[in-house]
Amino acid sequence: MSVLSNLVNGFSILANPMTIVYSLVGVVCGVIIGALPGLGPSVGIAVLLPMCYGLDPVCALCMLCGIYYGAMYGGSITSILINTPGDSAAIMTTLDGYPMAQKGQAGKALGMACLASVIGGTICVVLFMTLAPVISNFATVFGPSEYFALMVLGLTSIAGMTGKSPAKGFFAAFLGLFVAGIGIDLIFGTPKFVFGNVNLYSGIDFVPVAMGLFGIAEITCNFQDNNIVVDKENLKLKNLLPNKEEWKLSLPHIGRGTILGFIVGMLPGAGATIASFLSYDMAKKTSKRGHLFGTGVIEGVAAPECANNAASMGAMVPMLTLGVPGSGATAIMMGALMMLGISPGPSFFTKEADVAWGLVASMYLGNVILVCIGLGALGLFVRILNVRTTTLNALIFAFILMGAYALNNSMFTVGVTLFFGLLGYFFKKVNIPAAPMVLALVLGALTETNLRQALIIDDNNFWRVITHPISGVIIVLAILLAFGTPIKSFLKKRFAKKA
Amino acid sequence: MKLKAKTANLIMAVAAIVLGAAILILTKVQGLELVKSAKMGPGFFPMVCGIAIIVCGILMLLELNTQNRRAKTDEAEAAEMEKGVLDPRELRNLLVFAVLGIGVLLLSKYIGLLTSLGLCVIAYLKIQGKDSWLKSIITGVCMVVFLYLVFVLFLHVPVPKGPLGF
Repeated sequence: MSVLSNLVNGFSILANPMTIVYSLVGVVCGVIIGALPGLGPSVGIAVLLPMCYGLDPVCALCMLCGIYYGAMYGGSITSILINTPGDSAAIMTTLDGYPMAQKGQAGKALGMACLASVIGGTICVVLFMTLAPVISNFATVFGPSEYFALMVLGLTSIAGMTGKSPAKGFFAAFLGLFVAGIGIDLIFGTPKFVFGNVNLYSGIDFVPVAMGLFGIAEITCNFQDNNIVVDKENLKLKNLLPNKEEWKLSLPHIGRGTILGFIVGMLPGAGATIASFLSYDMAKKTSKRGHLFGTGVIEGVAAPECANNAASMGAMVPMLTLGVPGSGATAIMMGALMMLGISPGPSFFTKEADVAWGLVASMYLGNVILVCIGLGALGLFVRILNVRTTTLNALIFAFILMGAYALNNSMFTVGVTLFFGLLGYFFKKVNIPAAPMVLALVLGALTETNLRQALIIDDNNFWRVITHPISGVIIVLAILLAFGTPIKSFLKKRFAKKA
Repeated sequence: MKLKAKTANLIMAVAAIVLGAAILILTKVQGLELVKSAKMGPGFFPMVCGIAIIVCGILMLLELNTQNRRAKTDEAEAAEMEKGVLDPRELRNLLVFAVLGIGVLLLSKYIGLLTSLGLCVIAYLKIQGKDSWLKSIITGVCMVVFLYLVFVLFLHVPVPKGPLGF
């Protein structure tokens, strides 16, 4: 009952028309950015962060969430129309989406992608609002040692972001941790690595780093113009909606993909890309038409699309309830919340109840907006996507620089953004992932502060800090997450030798 | 000049080791203690990061060595290692962004931030987009108006102003 009354309260907060406007702006920007090849939700959130400065937290959160799930759907537009996924989570959509477009069913594929995203998203909001307060209640007993353990758990999600080379991923993470430590020491007041520069005394904010690493680095490598030609007849509403038979074929996969996506999304480091891969694979194995997957079947579009949206909702659960972001996008979002003076974590649903339940209500609203603009404004999106890439690059660059300035009203922040843009470009060239650096930067200061507080409480005994009952369990989980795969393969080899 | 992937990775690994060592030296030089007043001192975390970065650099070298050995028998791996990592078009784009960015940093004090951003958009569209002057100027002016509406009127950001008052 309290969940329902809180939800009603959340909807009453949404009665503010500005909240709806921000949700709409977020979803529209998210769809456009998600659809641009190479630019995913992390870039979208990083670039548009400046628009949140000074906003009411609910409005800012509504916009950021709108960007997040808008980008998740947006990725499918170019996947289906030109066989180029907007971001990695939309790769699986190309397998059946593009063949459908070649068969003249582009509208149907786009319609199903949108509806599957919305259905997946809406089911996950229900799961989110049921699960999140329970986890929050459980976590209210957390002290510094438990928080430190949680931060370690969050940092182990880097293991899932490292790609081919774990060393490169962890290098980026430790660099992020080091950058997070620049500035005045919180306990002793000693300046660290400031070299007499007053701008560095308050430390390096994550916003210019994220805008540089994700925004500038991406637009530097982005040249390819989109040349999307679609029959206008295909984009008419009646041609976008799947028929009864297609619903019958797709709904079971949407249901399964949603649950799977939500669970995968909650795991640190797993994310929407893995969720869409697993969901597509599961749909292929369980479908009566499994042998036709890859030739343009509608359930091959529905399964990955619902899963990637579900994963984006799932990723919000640990971020908001435990303060542990599991992906680059949620790390940037968490940093944005902290910038707005909100601390995601166990107390989020109690201390910031209005913001929390306003956010839950906005998720329902966001999904309604997504279905409206996803089906109603596809023609407009296609036209925007045909704008020359150089024009978009110039506009994004100017927006990033202005946003960087607006953060502290200082040109120094603009310089920091340019520096990290340059660094991000070289990172891309040598395949060093940027997400671990941003994640570490967001969690770095919290990790250090909580560890030092915990050590003061536990008489400088590190062993005691990590062997508190709850923190101990979390640390073991973190170790399993980080080293589970190598330990498993080591044990396998050992047992194979013995046998 | 073609920078091969294996050379780029080697440079990156060495740079990581040098960076880690620099962090350790700076921690010492700046007098950041590991332990202060029987508590974890301000130098502890940077030292851990410095050591970890050196270890990551060494691991990158080991990974590179493994890849080099695999490349002797695996053609795909060999091709991957010999691939060039720098694209001249990207480098040109990077250079243009860097020059324009530095230009904005230097000019905003004298001609205003919005004006310098408008000029930055026009210059980029002319240099990289090869757009006509008219189109470049219209796009630049529209962007300045958009930035003014969002940041100055709506978010009340006090931007550096030029002689024209914006």
